[in-house]
Amino acid sequence: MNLINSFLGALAILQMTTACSKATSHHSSDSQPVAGQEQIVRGKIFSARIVNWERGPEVSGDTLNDINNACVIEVTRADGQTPTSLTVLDVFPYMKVHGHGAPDEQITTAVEGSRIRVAKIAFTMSGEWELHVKATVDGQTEEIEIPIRVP
Amino acid sequence: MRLNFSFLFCLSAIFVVQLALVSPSVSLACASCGSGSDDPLILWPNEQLKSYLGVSTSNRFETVDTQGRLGRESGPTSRDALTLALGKALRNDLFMTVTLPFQQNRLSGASLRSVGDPLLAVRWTWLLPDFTAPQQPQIQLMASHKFAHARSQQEVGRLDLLDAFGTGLPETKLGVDVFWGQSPIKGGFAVGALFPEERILGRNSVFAGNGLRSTATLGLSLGGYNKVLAGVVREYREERRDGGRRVAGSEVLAHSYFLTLDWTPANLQTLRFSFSDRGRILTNKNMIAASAFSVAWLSTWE
Repeated sequence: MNLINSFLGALAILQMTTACSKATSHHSSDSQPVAGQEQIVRGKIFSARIVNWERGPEVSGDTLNDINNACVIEVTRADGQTPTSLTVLDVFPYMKVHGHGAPDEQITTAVEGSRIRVAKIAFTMSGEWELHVKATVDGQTEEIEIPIRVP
Repeated sequence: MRLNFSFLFCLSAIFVVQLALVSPSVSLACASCGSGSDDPLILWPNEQLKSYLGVSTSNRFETVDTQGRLGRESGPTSRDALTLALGKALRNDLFMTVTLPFQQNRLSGASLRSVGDPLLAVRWTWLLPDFTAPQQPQIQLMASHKFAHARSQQEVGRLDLLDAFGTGLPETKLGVDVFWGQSPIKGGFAVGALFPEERILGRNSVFAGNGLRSTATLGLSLGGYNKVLAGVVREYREERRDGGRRVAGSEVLAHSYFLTLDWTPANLQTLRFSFSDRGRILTNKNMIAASAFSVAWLSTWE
């Protein structure tokens, strides 16, 4: 009987520590991005914001034809002006909270004025991702992370 | 189909009591939690050489995000494994085991195989069980190291992720395992500290965060060497580091439960049936929920 009591006591402690962990984990909820409503991300050289999701964001399938996420990113200079030149060097998704990325060789980008159209972005699971955008704006290069919530 | 934890707990309790009523009970010493939830192979105090051959299948994968919400993931729908382990006693109170898994990922008829992450473990029995004092627990100190051999999700070359077989991070575990195994009703707990190594995976240096893995076990002798065990595992990891920076909200919290039945059809031979479900009880965060079923044959050679 002592053994059973000990076991039940251990379970109770387990439950209490879990409740504590749950209580302390809520601080990050306010900063989570909402799917399709990504905020502007300000860098030292340029700022970027996803203005439109043509497809997604959604969890991708397992073949090239099933990777359909596509979005349009608007880029402005840090002073708020429209850039006169914009070159995209790299775009890739990364899931920092899980410590992994996703296949990105299939990603295509196209610059249209101050906007970047990005297609074939793979998100391999639901959750909080970042879309890394490395670009040269008016001769200066920077990499920024746009948070994305994939439902 | 999602099963309620209390329903499963009640079901297993009824099962255990029913078996207890129909089985003759023998008090036997039992090494460790012995459920395979921490290490697949545990040697009893009088065993010198022991092997483990197990097959398992995992499925029902779901992601759990930073808020504890279940979500979808792409990639394999089933992960199967053939696990070989060998244990050798170095002294009466000290043994080591080597574990080598061979894994197979499956998705829509396609599959890929690879050697998984090998595990080297050592256990020293600080307090041996004493037949004259059944209330005295056995206390073991455990140390293990998982080698990162298998390719991780950061290193995959396929869109369907069939070639991802491991975490990519070596990890050392140090802990203590306390078990009361000399009564018909058995129980114990194990606590292990997890120390992963930092590695460059893909574009970044990745550190998964130190952790703590706790296991609570309750079991019942079914007569002879047969027994049934049920338990709960809690794993917590602190925030991970990515490129040297802490990632806010990346703590891992994972709860799982397991049910194990050990059946001894012949002397020194044990068949072990195990079911475990991870990420679907209590609170979970930043992990992959999965169900697993395994059958293993444990054979004592000396």
